[in-house]
Amino acid sequence: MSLADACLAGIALGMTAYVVLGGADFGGGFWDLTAGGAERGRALRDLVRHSMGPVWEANHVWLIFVLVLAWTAFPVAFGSAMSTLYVAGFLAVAGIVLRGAAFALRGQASSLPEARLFGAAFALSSVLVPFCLGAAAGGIASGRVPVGNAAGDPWASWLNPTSLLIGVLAVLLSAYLAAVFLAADAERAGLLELRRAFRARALATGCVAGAIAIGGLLVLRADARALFDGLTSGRGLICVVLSALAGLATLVLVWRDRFAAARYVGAVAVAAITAGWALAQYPQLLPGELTVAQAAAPDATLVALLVSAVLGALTIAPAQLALYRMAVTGRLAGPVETS
Amino acid sequence: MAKDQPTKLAAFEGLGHTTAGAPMHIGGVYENGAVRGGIELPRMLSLLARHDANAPIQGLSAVPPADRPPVNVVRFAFQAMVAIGTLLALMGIAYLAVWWRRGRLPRSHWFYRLLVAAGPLSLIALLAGWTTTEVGRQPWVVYGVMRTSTGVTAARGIGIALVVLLGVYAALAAAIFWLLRRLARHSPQSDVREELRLRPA
Repeated sequence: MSLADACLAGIALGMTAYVVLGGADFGGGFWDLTAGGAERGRALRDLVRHSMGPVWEANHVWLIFVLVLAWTAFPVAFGSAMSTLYVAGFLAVAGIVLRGAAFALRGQASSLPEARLFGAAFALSSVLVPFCLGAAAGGIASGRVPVGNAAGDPWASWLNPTSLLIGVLAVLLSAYLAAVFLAADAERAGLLELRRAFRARALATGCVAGAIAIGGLLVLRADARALFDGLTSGRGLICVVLSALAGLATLVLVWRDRFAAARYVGAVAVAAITAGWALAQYPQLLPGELTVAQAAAPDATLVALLVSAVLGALTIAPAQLALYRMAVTGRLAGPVETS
Repeated sequence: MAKDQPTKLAAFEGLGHTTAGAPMHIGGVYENGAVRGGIELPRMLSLLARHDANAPIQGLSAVPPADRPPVNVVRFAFQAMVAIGTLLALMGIAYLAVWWRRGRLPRSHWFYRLLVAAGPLSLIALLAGWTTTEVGRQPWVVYGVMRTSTGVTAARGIGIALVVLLGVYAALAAAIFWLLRRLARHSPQSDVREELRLRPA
């Protein structure tokens, strides 16, 4: 494994963490958005807010980690992707800013219209961000990012069949993970009606996401042949099969009310997909344009980057782990407040 | 900085030409290679930058005009940062002096007026510091290696993105202002959410 490969592995690891942990976070917003009217959706929204409160911004650590690794290790590829995919990137950033602000401000709303305004901003941006990030990933994976300063099409690079597929999958996957997490939270809080509600939501989104993922292979076959071939042969295929099995296993676990175990198996399913993507297009970094080796920064930079990434991870990981540990065991927030 | 980014230092101080025993100026405006209307502190720059009152300091004219930053913007930001920082430090010393000598808080109304101003001033100093270092490096984005003009994105519609972003942040600023005003009106003990719960939806 070369230094550049190690950096790529770090990026894939960070992306997995962001999709699993950040995804569950965004998915909470999806369930907030679809909870129905103010009266009907109240209990559900309260649980979302309660569960997300302690961890809701911590997850952006992973996004920052991925971005820093990407621009330091693969500067030309990063510049090309950012300058071509800037519309999707801009929407994602604006969504992240609005989402955080709206979530914080909603807690201070003193009337229903105010709460509605901030709630809507929070929920809509929770769907917008994973869609845009997924669509941007789809643009890279389907070879729509040429090398150069804004050399690609600013719209077609992230509004195309592959991008739409991955964007929609990102939203659904987020919703699925969030439903599993929230069902576990509801169970621990003794809110059996909410537990049922999220269990049903988890099963429904899990089935839909799985169906779209399998059907999506046909989209990839037509739109991104190289990626499709990579995913249906060799190591890529192993990852796809592993992901499908893990996905199926989470559905069974949710069905049997084993929400805690379902979280971890769900994480494996997502990790297998990000690893599968990396392996399917390896050694290409920007398919058809740059290989990992061609795009890599000089070795001195990569060594410095890997050393600081490991030191950073050693510094942050214990704190992040403690935070997640406390969040999943419910020691951070008090009893669920109903508004 | 005298060693690694001499042009930036020259812009801070408005030093037109390379000078042995270079002075510093407080205030004033940079015009035609020299600072006019400031208070001159002879040899101070050489002393601070090189620990030698007679050391030569590289001036702006050592590089072509196209490689120099806009001097007055950089100088004004730098002086504002230093002035505010000095003021804040002096306030701390004044407070400690009163506390140590008299064992009580300062009684002067001016001290408290300054204290109120210190919050916004510290933010202004922060922004001035950014302006100093970022504008002072111009026209380079990577000093001596890459021009800002070659580092910028070729994507179209960046102006639109900027306006939208300004709009987002203006809306956020308005929301924060609204929130702080509400928190200032209600005492912190009364939980706003309690009221929401009592009010019929």
